[in-house]
Amino acid sequence: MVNAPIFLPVGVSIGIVAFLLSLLPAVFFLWMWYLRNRDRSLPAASIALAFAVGAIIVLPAFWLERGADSVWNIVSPQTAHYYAGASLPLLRIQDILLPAFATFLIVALVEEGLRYGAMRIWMRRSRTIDQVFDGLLIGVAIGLGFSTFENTLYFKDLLHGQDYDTLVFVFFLRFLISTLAHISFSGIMGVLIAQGTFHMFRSRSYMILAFLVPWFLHGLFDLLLGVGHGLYAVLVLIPALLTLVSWTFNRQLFIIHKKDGKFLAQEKTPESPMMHALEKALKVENSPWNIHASYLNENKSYRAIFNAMGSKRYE
Amino acid sequence: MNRQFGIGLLVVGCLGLVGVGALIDAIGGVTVRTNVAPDTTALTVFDPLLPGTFVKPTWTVGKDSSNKEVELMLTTEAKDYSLVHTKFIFGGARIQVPCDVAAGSARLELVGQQDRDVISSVAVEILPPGPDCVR
Repeated sequence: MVNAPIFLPVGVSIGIVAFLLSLLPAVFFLWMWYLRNRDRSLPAASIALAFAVGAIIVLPAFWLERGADSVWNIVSPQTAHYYAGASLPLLRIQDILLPAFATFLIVALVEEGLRYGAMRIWMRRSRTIDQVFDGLLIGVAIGLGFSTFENTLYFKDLLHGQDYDTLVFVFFLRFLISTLAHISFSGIMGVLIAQGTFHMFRSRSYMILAFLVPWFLHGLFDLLLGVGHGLYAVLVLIPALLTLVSWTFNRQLFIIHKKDGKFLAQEKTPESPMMHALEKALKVENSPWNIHASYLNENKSYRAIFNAMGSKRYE
Repeated sequence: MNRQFGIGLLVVGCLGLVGVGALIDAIGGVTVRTNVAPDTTALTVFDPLLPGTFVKPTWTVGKDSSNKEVELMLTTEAKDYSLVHTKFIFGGARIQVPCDVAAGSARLELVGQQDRDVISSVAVEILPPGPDCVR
């Protein structure tokens, strides 16, 4: 008996294709920041949860933004078109002020505000987040979840309208620009919230900066794109991205502040590969075996160092 | 991945991003907002506009075939010009570019007469007054 073919409704099929398309950048950036690292400070379940939280946040964000758009349409229909961006060319001061109002006080405020709330609650209560670098990973994953769901909605509209030429262009544009923007703003927020959570003395100033910095960058980035200055928008994005990349390699962010959900009285520095190798070598040196043949222990110690460091330079 | 390779990759990536930014500027019309209904009414007109001449801007009617009254406006830095009143469903209207409009950048806007909402707009370049204005 031949199985009957499964026919999906057009809307569902388009939704699936759009989701798969938007998942591509997410997988790429997730690999870059998390999957390729051998020493992962957070379990995969936390990253998956952060990704899901980021995706879920899109719904209230869209709901609030649509609401603001409707209110603007009722209050001042003659200026409501500024919500979607500026009318070009820029001729009067309102051509820049009203899109700025939309980007800074509606879009950036709603999106960054929701992300801030979610991350702040999570990091305060989490038992797994024990170092500032974990905040960066959670921030990046939330940003990726957000951009993935946002991209899905975007691609779905284009696929539905059979606008394939625009789809190809928009795909690469959103792959690079929009996804990177969400990752950068959210990652910076994650680091600053984690700093605020773990720092005893400057907690409040870190928490304030954690909202203000991503909010300002997001507002400015959107505004510059909205007024047709894509190059300047990218120039705003690049320093944010470079900051995030430099933080990825900053050993200070790897200091461990918590254990089993409780703050440590004395912060622990993470184990460096060199220290790990030395500890292993010393263990061999102190071995009760071959106590009367110290040269054997010595050779074993050297081998232990070479193996632990995993580097061929010392051979 | 060694340090030099990483830095090289980062520099290339940043230059690539700058290239994408330049591409966005060159192409134009890129929107970032997804939650706003796409602009289904596209207003088109032959550009640049020569004052004194007649042109016919057109707009796509699409699904919105309402019978509402619309107005074509020419917005400049100094002044707004009301060019013509018509019905949206006609999808176009013949206008004469005013002679007193200053040369330079301007916007042609399709405005709903009831709410004064901007339905669509397009950037245009205004030339110095032509022979039709001198006559």
